[in-house]
Parts: sequence; C-alpha cells; structure tokens
Amino acid sequence: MSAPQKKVTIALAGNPNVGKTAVINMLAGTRLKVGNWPGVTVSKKEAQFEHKNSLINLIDLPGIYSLNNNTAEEKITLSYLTNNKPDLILNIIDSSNLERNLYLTTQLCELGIPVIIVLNMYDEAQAAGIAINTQILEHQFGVSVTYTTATKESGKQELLQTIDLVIKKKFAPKTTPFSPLLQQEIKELAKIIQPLINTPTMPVSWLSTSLIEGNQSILEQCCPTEKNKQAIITYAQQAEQKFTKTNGESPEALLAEERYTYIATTLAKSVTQKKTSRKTVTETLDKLLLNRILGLPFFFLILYIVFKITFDGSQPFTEWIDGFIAFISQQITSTLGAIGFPHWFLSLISDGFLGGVGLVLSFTPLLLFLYFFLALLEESGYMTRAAFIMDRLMSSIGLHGKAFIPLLIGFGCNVPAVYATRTLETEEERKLTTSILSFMSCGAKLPIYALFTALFFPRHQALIILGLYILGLTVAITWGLILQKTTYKKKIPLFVMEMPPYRFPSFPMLMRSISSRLTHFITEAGKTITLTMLVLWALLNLPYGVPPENTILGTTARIITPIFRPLGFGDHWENTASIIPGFLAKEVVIGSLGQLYTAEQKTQILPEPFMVELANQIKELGTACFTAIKNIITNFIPGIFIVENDFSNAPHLDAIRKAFTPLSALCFMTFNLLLVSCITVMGAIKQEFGGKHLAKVLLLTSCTAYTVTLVINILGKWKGY
Amino acid sequence: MPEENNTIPLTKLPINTKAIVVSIQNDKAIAKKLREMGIVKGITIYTSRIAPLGDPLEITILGYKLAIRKNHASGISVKPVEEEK
Repeated sequence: MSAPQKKVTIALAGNPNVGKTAVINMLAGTRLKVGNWPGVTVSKKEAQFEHKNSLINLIDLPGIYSLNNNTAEEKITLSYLTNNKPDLILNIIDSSNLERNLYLTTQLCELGIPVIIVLNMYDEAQAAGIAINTQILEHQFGVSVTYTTATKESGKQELLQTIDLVIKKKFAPKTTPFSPLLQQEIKELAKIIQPLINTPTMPVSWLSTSLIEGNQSILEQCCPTEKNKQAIITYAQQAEQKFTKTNGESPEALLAEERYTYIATTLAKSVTQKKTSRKTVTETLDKLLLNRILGLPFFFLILYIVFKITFDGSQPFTEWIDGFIAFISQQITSTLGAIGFPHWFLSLISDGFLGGVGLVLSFTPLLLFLYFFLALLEESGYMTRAAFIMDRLMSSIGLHGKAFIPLLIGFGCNVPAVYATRTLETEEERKLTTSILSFMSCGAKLPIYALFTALFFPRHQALIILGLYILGLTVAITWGLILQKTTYKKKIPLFVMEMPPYRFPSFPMLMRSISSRLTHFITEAGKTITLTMLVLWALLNLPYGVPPENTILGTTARIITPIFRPLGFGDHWENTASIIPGFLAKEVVIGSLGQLYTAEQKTQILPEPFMVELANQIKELGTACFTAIKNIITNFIPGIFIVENDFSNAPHLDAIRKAFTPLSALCFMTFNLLLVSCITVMGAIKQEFGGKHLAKVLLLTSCTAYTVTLVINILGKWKGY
Repeated sequence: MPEENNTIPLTKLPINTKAIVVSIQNDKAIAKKLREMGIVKGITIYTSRIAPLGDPLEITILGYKLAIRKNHASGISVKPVEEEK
C-alpha cells in the first residue's frame, strides 16, 4: 500500500571550496555516481535515493562564484537551472565566509525556484567565534536555512527535514531590493523582452536582470527567431550605454554593488563575531610556506617528495603487474593451445588483447599514487599556494600558475599529467596545457636518448640529452604562446584565485575520489587503449607468420619511408617502422629497432607448474612493496631520470651504428622527443577531452615533430655534418 | 579621470594597510570578475602578501583571501584609511 512516489529533483549549487562534495556524499553515500558533464572535463555527480514518499534525484552543479556565463562551470549551471528547472536548490555555503558566498545566493533567489541555504563547515565558523541568526537570514532571503558539518556527517537529519518541509510548502525566495533606478531599468528591459519571446519558463524580470549582467546566452532558449534575439540585444546595449552615461556607472556594476550592499546590511543584523586574537593555522602556515625567501624552497621540497614517491613508489608495482599479466597470458595461451586453437589466435589474445589490458592495468599504480597526491594537495589547500608561487613564472609564458604542476608531472609521464590538468580552472586552459604537454619529454623517451647518445655522442651524452629537454621546453613555450594568440584567444580567463584556508583532507573522501577516478581510467581510457592495441597487433603481425618486412607495418614503413628521408633517417625502413610500435610506449622503440634489425628468435622459457608460479607471483608482490619503500628512501634522484647506460649485451648495436649517422641519430631523437608519447596518453586525452581534441593534438605534435626535425637536418647538412 | 584626493592604485598600497575601493578601471571582463569576487566600490581591502617572485598579490576582502596579478590590481583605485590602534 505504498503511496505513489513523487519525483523530486534537487540541485546543489555553491562556490568552489565550500564542501559541496562532502554534502552530497553525506546525503547520497555510496549511491553517488560520478561522470562528466557532456563535452567538458567538469565532473558531474548524481545520486538517486528514496526518502519518505519521494524519489529524490540529487544533482551536483559545478562550483561557481556567480550565475553569469563566464566559464564552462558557470555556463553548465546557468543552463541546467534554466532548462531543467529543479524543484529545489540546495545552496551550499562556507559558514565562515558568508559575505562572498551569499553573492551567488542573491542570484539564485531570483530564479523563482525554492532555495535552502546550507551553512556548511559550521564547526569552523563556531571555532572562529561566528554566531549566525538563521531566522533573520531566512526572513531576508525568503529561504530556509540549516547547518551542516558534512565531513563529520553532522546536520544530516535536520537537512533532510528541511528538504521535506520545503518540498511541501514551496517557499518562493525574495529577490534583492534594488534601488528604484535599477528597478526601473530592469522593468523597462522586461517590457521590451516580453512580446519578443516564447512563453517563458523563467520570470521575465530575471531574464531582464540576467541580460543586464551580460548573459545573452539565456535568450537562445526563449527567443523564437534570431531577429528577435538581435532586437533584444541591441536594445539592451543601447539602454546600457544610456544608463552608464547618465549615472557614471554601468547597470551591471551597480547590480553587483547593490547585491553586496544588501548582503552587508543583512549580515550586520544577523551575524556576530567574537574578536579572537589567536592566529589561525592558515596564517601561521602561510607565513612559512608563502614566505618570500623560504616559499620557493618549500615548494620545491614538497614537489620533490610528491614526484619521488609517485614515480619511484609505483614503479615496482607496475613491474609486478607486467609480470603478473605475462603469467596470466601464459596460462591462458597454454590452455587454449592445448585445446587446439591456432597460433595466430593465441598471439592475438596474449599480445593484442591481454597486452592492451596489461598496459592499462600497469598504469594503475602510477595513477593511484598521483591521484592520491593531487587530491591531497587540492583538498589541503596547497594547490592554490603552488599556483600563487609559480604564477609569475608561468604568466611570462602566458599560462596560469596552476599549469606548472601538470607540466612538471609530464616530465615523468604524460598520462597522469593529462589527468592533473583538471586542477586548472577552465576547459580552455586544460586543453591548451594538454596540447603542449607532449613536448615535455617523458621518462619513457629517455632510453632512446640514452642508447643513441651512447652510440653517437659518447663524449657529450649529458649535454645532448639536456639539449633535447630544453628543445622540448622551447617548442612547448612557443606553441603555448601561439595557441593563446590564436585558438584560445580571449578564452583564457583571468588569474583571480581564491586562497582557501588550509584544511585537513578527509581520508574517506580522498579514497572515494581516487577510486572513482581510477575506475574511470580503467573503463573509459581502457577501452581506447585496448582497441588501439589490437590495431597495432594487426599492423605488427599480419599477414601472420611472415618476416617483419612483409607485415603490414613493414610494407607500410617501406612505402612511407621516403617521407622521412628529408629528416635524415629515412634511408632504412626499419627506422620508420620502429616509430610506430613506439606509440605503444616509447621504451619499445629501442626493443623494436633491435628486433627489426636482427629478427631475433624469442627464446621460450619452460613455465613452472601453475601453483608454483602463482606462489611466485604473490611472493613478487611482497618484494614489490619492499622495493617501493627502498626506492623512495635510498636514492636521491627520481629513478625515472636515471639514464641506463649498459648496452653491452644488445646484439643489434652494430646494425644501428651502420644505419645512422650522428646527425640522423640526432634527428631520430628529436622526432621521438616531439611525438606524442604513447597510446595510453592518447587514451587519456580522448577520455578527458574527446576524439576531436585528440586528433588536434596528434596533428599538432606530428607536424611539429616533422618540421623541427627537418630544420635540424637541414641546418646540420648545411654545417657539413 | 580627474585626480581624486589620496586615491592610489592598489599596487601602491603598502602591505597590511587598509583602504576603501574607490573605482575599478580595468577592462570590462576583468572588472566584472573582480566585482563578482567582492571587489566593489566602498569595500574595505588590503594587500596581505606578495608572492615570492613579486607577483601576484594576495589581497584580503570580505574576510577571505584572493590572489590577483599586479596588472589587474593596478586598475583598482583605493583610498587608504587611517587605522585607530
């Protein structure tokens, strides 16, 4: 005899850094689903649950400071609220930072949708001696107000009760009482709008106010024709000019001022703050971490620790996963082989499919470590400090201070670096940073430099390698500057960044964020990577059983090799052919060069019995843990930067020495330096930004690699090398 | 713009000296963003820190801290207030 369920949609809105995620976690628990808003790298959290007689659909909107459409986050919020019209808005607010937080509230209250103000992080406000009279707030804004400290799950019942109450009663919030001057302006514009639009779902006075605030995009939904839209925009512009001329200030500026004045008068009535002479933790920490002299050393120390633990700590586990996958692969193929499956099929399964799955899984330890540190830096509040410290340097090349960390991680591995760009504030900045990321020479490209410099520049090895890194950086900076002047012109926002107080990250929340991001990598990027791996397998192995030069790869390489002739290393098809498997992972380039030049026979090692092997694998995992700790504490230089120099037992060295000259070796290294690292990074870019951006990045990097290498070859020839 | 009494750009304001915002003369988009963050006429503002490399500034308004670059801060005109100690 259950009553018919009522569907209720509740949207969570609020500024960044106010604990919105904690509130939605508290309400939804494990039912939370994390995805992306369509087409952008802004994460979308949703949950459905039953409460009393309602089926509640919770939607977390991105953190924003205002309801204007300046950034992707604001656009999403604005269009969601106006098009989907939720039944209720939970406006999450940082209780110790009311004044600025309430600015968004004044805008939300104009939408005609019931609003509940959730005073979150209430414990911090109490500790700071802030007392809030909620009744006055409720009365002034026409909303319900409730307290929570979501990280401690406190205030959940009260919040649910308030939700019940508001769903039943549907209070309409009050709008800011603007001055007669502005009210007149809003009313006149509304009069013009009214006959030119379809029956609006939003209050016309809101449309008018929002238009004055510069949000012309709101007209797209409600204007029947382009002509009407233009008419409204033209009128609004004229009205704005007239207003500015007579009053010395734009109506938009006056709106903001009056909102803040109204908030200030409301707070004067409703909030008291005890004076505390005690210095806050944030002030003390910032005195040290942002110190003019010590700030930089601390910054580099923190980054060094993060870099070291991430790369050196994850590497033994990566190797263990590689070994484990090889073991599984061996078991499967020997079983399948015994039932009589053909040899090519076994190869497809073990080298193609399991190779791809293994590749994806082998990145999980690295990403696990990195996600942990990124979340830690982000949640603790140090990420904004890092941006504050590095912004001077980054702004000189036109980037945001926050771009420093993703680019730095790129020197270790581009894959986690792509995911690290999420720390940037807008979609455009993330795309721009990803576009130049490939030029940060990743750790896997180092073995190529190591081998070629050892063979051709034995006396200037370090110098050449350093030169390559600098070349990569120069290309990155050049492209960074060009792209901002062209593709991303006017889209790169301003550096106006809130510096939130330092906070202790909540461990369960860190874990939840890490596990959801890892799952996404495995399922989303995993699909792309495994598919690409199958294609590569076909290139390398079909027609099955023929020698390397007759495979699709060999045949294609022989056809396209002339394209690489101007680059200096196109005289031998093997060189071209080695670049393609290089997309698997750059460390493969050396191996495939060796295989292509010697066509060496793989030696088969007889496997141990299953149980013995399994026991070995488990023992290896233990060893991996031990090695991880040893790596972190014993070496000073991160392992990813250590150049392997022992090639004594490589049989193909003579062949390579004959196939290259010093100049063509340099060209080969440059070409690999500037090329996209591997298919895993492609999978990551596709997951984050979609296929279109991936195609752009591939085009950009390939053309750049070709052009720069060409220039070096021509210069080299001209100088007589 | 006529020279107003005691009005200086925010970048010239000594550290930890309180001032009142008089006007914002940045380009439209920047001015809008600054206003949304709470930098409006009549608000009390002070520079609380300069980054180790000399730019950006950390300013304090409405009880919270905001980092802005000097070239944006120079468009904000302020009037220092005498503080009673």
